Amino acid sequence: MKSRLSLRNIGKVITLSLYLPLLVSCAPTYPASELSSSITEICAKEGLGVKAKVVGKTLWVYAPLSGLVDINKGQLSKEGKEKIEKIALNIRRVVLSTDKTLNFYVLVASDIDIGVDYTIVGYIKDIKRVLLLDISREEYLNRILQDFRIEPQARGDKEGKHLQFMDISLRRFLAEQVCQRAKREIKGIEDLNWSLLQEQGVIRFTLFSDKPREKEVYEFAKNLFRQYGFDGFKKIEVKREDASPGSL
Amino acid sequence: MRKIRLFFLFHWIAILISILVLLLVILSIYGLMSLESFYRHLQLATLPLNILLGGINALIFAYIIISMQLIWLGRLHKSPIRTEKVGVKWEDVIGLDEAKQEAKEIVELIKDRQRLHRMGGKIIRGLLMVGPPGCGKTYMAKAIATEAGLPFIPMSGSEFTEIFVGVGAARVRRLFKKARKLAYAYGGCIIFIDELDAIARRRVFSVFGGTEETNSTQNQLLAEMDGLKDREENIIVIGATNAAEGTLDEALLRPGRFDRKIYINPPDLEGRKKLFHYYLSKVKYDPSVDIDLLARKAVYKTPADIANIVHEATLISARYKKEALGKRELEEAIERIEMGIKQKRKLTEREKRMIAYHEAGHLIVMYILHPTDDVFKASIISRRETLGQVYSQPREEWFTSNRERLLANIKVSLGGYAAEKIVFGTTSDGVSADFQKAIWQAHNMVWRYGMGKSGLLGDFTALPKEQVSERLKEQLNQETQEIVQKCLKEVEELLQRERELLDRFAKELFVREELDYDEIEAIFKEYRKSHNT
Repeated sequence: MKSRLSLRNIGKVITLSLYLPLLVSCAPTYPASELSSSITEICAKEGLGVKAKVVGKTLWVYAPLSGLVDINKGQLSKEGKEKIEKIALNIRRVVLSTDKTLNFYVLVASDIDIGVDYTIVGYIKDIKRVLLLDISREEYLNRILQDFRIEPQARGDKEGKHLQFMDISLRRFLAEQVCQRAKREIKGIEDLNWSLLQEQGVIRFTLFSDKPREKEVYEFAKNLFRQYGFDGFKKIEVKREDASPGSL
Repeated sequence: MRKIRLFFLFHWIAILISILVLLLVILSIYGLMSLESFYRHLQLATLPLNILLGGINALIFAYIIISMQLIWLGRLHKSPIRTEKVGVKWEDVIGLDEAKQEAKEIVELIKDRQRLHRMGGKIIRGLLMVGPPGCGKTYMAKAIATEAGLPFIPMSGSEFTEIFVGVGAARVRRLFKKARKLAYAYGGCIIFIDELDAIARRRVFSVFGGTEETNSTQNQLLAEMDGLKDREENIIVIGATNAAEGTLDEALLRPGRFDRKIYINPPDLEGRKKLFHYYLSKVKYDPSVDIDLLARKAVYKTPADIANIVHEATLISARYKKEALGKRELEEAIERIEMGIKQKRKLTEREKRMIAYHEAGHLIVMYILHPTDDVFKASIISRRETLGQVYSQPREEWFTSNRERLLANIKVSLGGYAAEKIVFGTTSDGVSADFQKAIWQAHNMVWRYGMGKSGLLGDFTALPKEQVSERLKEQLNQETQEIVQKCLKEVEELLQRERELLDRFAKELFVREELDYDEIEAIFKEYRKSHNT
């Protein structure tokens, strides 16, 4: 067929070319098969050596660091915070642009000199929601679980052998979040733990407080579960008792 | 190569926009590929909304631009017609032999312009075709374009005129600009301006400025055709007009602009025969139809009239559910076109008798006194605005009218009035149209043709009114009235003499309502009357 130089033919070419961008966008940047290695490589480019592992739908990243903690102040050092932020940012990049189905990420930064673990657990959908301005940044930061504890087995552990890798469930994540946030946001609570009565499908919160805060904790938990759309329980119980350590 | 260059010349804006769009698409793809997939998906997710918003913006922008363009009326919306689409050859032009011969010469000049250049001659710039409406001026222009093998841009003179001054001139400039581009690509271009008199009338310079628009358009046309810029672009302007040459501006008619003039007149007898043959060949018709007779009946008819007769006959034939046109359908078509469609009106007996005598008066005067015309039909059936008609045609073509013919026309016009007066002792207002014709003929005889009794010569209507004295006007008007009165007297005498004939025709018309040529001839023969020849 003889092609003619005409406006119509030029118009056809232009119209077809407008569809090209759609074809380009299909492939994920970090394929599932290269997920762990991608995180390792990205962090290595920034001078950060990490180990990554996927357990079920949870991504675990272990960062053995030196000088993570400022011993004098008893908190994270400035350098340590910066490194953790960089690693967290890299994790967010990768989990958003992969085709692997993930729900949670866990970043464990260990000071291998002293033996301290700083753990962050985040829900990947929360990352998307904050980027799309569905939730505020403050709310997003409140939703991240943080744990700072002394862990002697972390000394010299560059591989993360002292860690127990598991697939985090939403129930566990939310229950921990209730405990963490309620202690911060509701006055008069000394401690708050949770447990699961599997057969009855009951999540029980054990409240250690001088003042009656059962109702506040109950409402807080109920609202939080509703925000996440979580209905994997039959009942929420809040019981007030003397203080005892909770467990993850 | 020229055609490719012309393509770019005509469409450079569209091509530039296309290149920009392609560039933007490529940059978009590059940008998207450099993003991580999540952000890429984010961008694409907003694409439909962005397209929708962009579309709404574009619509608002287009609305504003179009509104501004409607105010800016100088746009020219004409596309040139390619020669192969015009498709009118010399063989298709029928009955205009002399005009065709001139047009052929012009086409030869256009085609062989190199030879003309070698001799030092110049290409003709313009060709003016003058003639009554329907004679084939536009058709001839199309034949010139087809035979010359050049693109053809048709325009109408009225397309150049707008209420805003300068719009017409802008359109003329655009037209010639387009023609130059086509001439560059195809070696020449023909611009055809129909109804040229819309912009080509004599320029009037009025203090009130009401004619500025027409003047500016015409000035631009003059400049483009043969202005300061001497160009050899082989653009030929063909103009067509019904108006007399005297009404057109002299600057347009001078050599260098509309160099050649072709006068396209209604066809003669031979031309009409050919036209009837041509148009009848396109339909099914009875071979026994006498085309010579038809051509003789269609005196002064233009090619458009003849085409209309055949077309009308075809419709009549279809109404009668016939397979082919016959003599009856053609005659009915001529009658319908000339006289109009019959209308049913309920008239009183007295009124009908009066109309019958009125038409009989016309008929008798026409037959006995008129030197050139024959009566083909007399009717007292209403048609158009008239209650009755006498349809006549000259036996052959006449291009001038002598005194006797003019007087005969006046007498025929007065025949109806005289008949009413003689028979009924009173007259009706049905004579107003007849009086109009009669007084106008008599007026022209005295005021324009020098045929008055006093012997005063000249066309007094050409003089400014203020230069014709009241006394002269009175004298001329008196002579006009004398002519009319004299004619009336002769007609009354004739009808008094032929009272029996008058009664006979009136009776026949009253009963039959219509009499055709053969019936009329038969009655005159019965009374031993013959034509005045």
